[in-house]
Amino acid sequence: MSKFFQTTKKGEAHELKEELNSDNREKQKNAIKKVIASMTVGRDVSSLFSDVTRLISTVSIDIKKLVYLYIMNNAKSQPEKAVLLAGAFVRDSQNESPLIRGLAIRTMSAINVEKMADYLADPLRKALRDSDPYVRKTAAIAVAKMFTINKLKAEEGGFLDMLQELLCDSNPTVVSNAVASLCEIRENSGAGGLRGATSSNDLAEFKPQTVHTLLNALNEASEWGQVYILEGLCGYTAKTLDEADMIAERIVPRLQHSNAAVVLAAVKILVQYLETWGKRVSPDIREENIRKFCGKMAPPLVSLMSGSQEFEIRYVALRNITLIIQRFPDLLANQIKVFFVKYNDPIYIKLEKLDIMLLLVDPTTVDICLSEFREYAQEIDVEFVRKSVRAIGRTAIKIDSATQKCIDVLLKLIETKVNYVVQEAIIVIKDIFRKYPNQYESIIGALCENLDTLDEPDAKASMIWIIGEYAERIENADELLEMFVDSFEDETNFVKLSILSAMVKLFLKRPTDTQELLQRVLKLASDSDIPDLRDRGYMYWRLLSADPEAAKEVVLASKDVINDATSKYDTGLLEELLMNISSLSSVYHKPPSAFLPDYLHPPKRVVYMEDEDEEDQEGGGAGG
Amino acid sequence: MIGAILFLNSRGDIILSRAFKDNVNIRAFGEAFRTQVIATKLADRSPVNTLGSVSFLHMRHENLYIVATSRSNVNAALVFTFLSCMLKIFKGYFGTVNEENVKESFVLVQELLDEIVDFGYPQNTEVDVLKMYITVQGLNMDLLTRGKESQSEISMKVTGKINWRKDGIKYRKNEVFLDVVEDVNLLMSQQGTILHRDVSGKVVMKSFLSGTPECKFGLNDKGMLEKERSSAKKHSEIDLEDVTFHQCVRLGKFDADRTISFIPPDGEFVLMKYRIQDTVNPPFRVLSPTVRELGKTRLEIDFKVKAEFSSRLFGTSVVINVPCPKQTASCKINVTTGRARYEAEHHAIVWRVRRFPGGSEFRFGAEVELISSTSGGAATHWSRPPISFQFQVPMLAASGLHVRFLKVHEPKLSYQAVKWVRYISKAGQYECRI
Repeated sequence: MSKFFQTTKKGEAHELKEELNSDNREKQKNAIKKVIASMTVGRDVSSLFSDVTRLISTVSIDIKKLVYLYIMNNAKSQPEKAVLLAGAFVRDSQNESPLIRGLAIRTMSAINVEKMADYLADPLRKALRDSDPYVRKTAAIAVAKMFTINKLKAEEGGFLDMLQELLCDSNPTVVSNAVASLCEIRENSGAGGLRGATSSNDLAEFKPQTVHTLLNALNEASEWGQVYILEGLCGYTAKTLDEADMIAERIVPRLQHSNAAVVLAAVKILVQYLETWGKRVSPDIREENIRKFCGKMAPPLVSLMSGSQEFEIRYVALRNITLIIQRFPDLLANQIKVFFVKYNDPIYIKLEKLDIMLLLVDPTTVDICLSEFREYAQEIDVEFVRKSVRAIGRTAIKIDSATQKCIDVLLKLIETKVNYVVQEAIIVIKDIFRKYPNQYESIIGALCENLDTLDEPDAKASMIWIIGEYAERIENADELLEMFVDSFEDETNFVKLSILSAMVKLFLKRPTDTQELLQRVLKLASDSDIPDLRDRGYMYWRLLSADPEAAKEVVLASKDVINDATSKYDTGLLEELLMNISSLSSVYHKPPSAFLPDYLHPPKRVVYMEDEDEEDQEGGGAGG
Repeated sequence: MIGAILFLNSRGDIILSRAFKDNVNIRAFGEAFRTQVIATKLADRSPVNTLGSVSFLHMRHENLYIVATSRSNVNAALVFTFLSCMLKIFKGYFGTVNEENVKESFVLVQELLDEIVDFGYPQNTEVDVLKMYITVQGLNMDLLTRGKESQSEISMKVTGKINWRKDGIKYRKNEVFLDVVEDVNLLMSQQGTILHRDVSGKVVMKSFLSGTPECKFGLNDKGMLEKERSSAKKHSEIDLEDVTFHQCVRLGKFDADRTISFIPPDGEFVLMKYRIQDTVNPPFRVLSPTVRELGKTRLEIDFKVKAEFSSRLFGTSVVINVPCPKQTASCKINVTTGRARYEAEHHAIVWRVRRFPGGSEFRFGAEVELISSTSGGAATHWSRPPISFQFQVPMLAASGLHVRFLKVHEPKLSYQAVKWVRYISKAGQYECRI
């Protein structure tokens, strides 16, 4: 059949037209296959609309399906003509075969032409109450499509209430599709909300009986259906602590499902439970709850990122694990080895594992982690190598007792003379110096040996900072700085600023023989056309000439010690990300509005609750 | 949910596409993915990329990029799980999913997509049920003319409780085959210490059983044995780190009392997947690896491999990959069994041993000549990738897992089923650093 994909030559459209209009069934069928093949690779075939749709009343079901497919894709470009086809769909929606009825509803509702809504409403209403579950489950999704075709008509037509009724359907697939449809409608309804949305058909306001039906359907629904139901339950706000507890307990078995999406959807509910209701109980019970549910969540989360899954799924799992362990640091205690990088892991897996190792490393595992990081720092991928070097520096800052070991490893890496390794190492050593001032400067000599290999602004600036900061212990500090001063004009602004500051520090520490060099730098800075540099140059100049003692106090003042920055996100962001487990947002570690320009915030009941919760605690009364 | 699914070849040309939502422009999406994700090599750095307001989630398969697009904060886990599931369905219909076959079967692919996704929401993806009404030739015509009853039977299957099993299945001989397949993952340091080991295993069941059989399945899992206190300790216990089940298994029941009970689909399916750490015995071990640099252009690599399992068993298709620097010119290799040769395209010496008896130990030695390079110190810049293994060891469960029983009970037909169990351990990510 690859012949269908041959490129369109001139006149072929004409030929196709002829074939479509011929009386020969085989010719017609071949012609329409060619049309679909073109469409499927993205070519515009809308000019054949009349010729293709003419075949809609054909008796042959396989041709009919191809015609339907064509219509779904091209109706938008021929809205008037598309509406004329409504009759054929309506007829099919009364066919005695449930598969054809479903097909008709599915296709008709996919034709996004506003007028179509007029014709769709009645058959759709019928389909929602069809005796056959296949038709009902198709109709449930079609309601969401109806909302994109003509929101007003859909709202006024009472379809929300009909969907609500399907939530109690006896068939699990109908139930789960109804939930999916409601979620989709809600997501797209925007800030204005939905007209016709009453408390009885709002997701967040499910009746307790509905929740029970959903939980029961959970056991019987298909794997995807389970995901839809779980997502729907995420939007539901439990009315009492008992109810919330009950839901959490009923969700736990889903963690054993072999479908990764089901597992993560269950994790999402449990995390939300711990984040909201979990905070309403006494600290003891809260501890107990966290221990219990984390114990249940940890093994399946680890499975999701290990051997048996596709790398893409592992990646989603890893990104979510990074989020969850920031909130529940004990979740994967003692599991750090699972995250050791394998040589054949794709790069995105390697980078993520490294992040997680850094979050998990503690005094008991620091030795083995350091030897891993050192191993990784000798791999090929530059980004991964640099991140590994950075990880060693971060470990030094995170775990006081291991700093000396980290520095030893960094020095070993500097010895390899691999240019980017050396530069990255110098950058992190600067941070170590800032965390532990006056403890490790004995290694400065080793760093200075690599001065001439530095060609990156960050590395240069770090080295210059170290020279300035420890000028009194570096005998030839003036010579070293002079090297940079010589190339001053070629440096980036950032490096120029560093040179200026370091030079001032050097002068304050060794005024006798560095005045000339200082003058040179101050001159360079104040002649500069970069405002920042010029201003800072003048500032130092005046400060030094007005009151050198005051200058000392200002410039050489002790600095704030930097902190371990391994918990990456502030609480607000982390909270929002945890509400989005398993979604793109959790993969990017960004709130949805940051990468979706038209993102509409769904009404988030769960977050409101948290506020109430705090008030409650202030009032001294914990819920439940 | 999913806005569109695109199949692109390695050059980035669209070979098939399907739009589920209205706000997609296949052509523009394909172009954007080709120029901004494939050409920029972003595709290798992340499986998820957002360009403007459209997110692209992609997988590599054979010579294809399988891409799902979305304009919403889509459930990424669901998308990837679905794409992988979709590929399995296509495989079940037309074999390898590659450019040629997808083009060849584009009508069928469209037909299937129409059935398994609606408005971007995955629907029924059970191959067996799909095959009831969509055949390789497309929609099953007979069925549509056969009348109402058989059709409503299908719609029950597609939407029903037990959508994984047809009614009225009959076999003259009722048989069940269980395959315990274990992927062994290992990471070993130069010093021979095990940094990490685990087994990702699965129990594959092939059931040829009549009627609606109730099955109960038992393992030597610590948790399960504790529940049935009476059982005598015949086998060593294993500790399942984690276990997931096919959707036929009653999860509530497992959660309550650790029994695995289910009504199986007909034919082959993965009953459960599990992960085990502590009791894993890695089947192969690298002993005393050394890499000596003799001057700037010569390396000597030396190690032994030991098969650490019972001498009654043997490993088959053992392939040991020994990486060499890129500028390798020639190798003098000396192995005490099997065949080894330098394969330039892999930058590695590939050592193949067809039959590796348990308990035995073989030596590998190689002298590697490098092309002298002007930058000098060729060997020092070599990242020394680990030695990696591929192997199969039939009748070995590296984790120590053992199937204790499988009870089959068909309430109406009450037959005796014949049961067979096989074990095999294979290499997963199996790496020893040198």
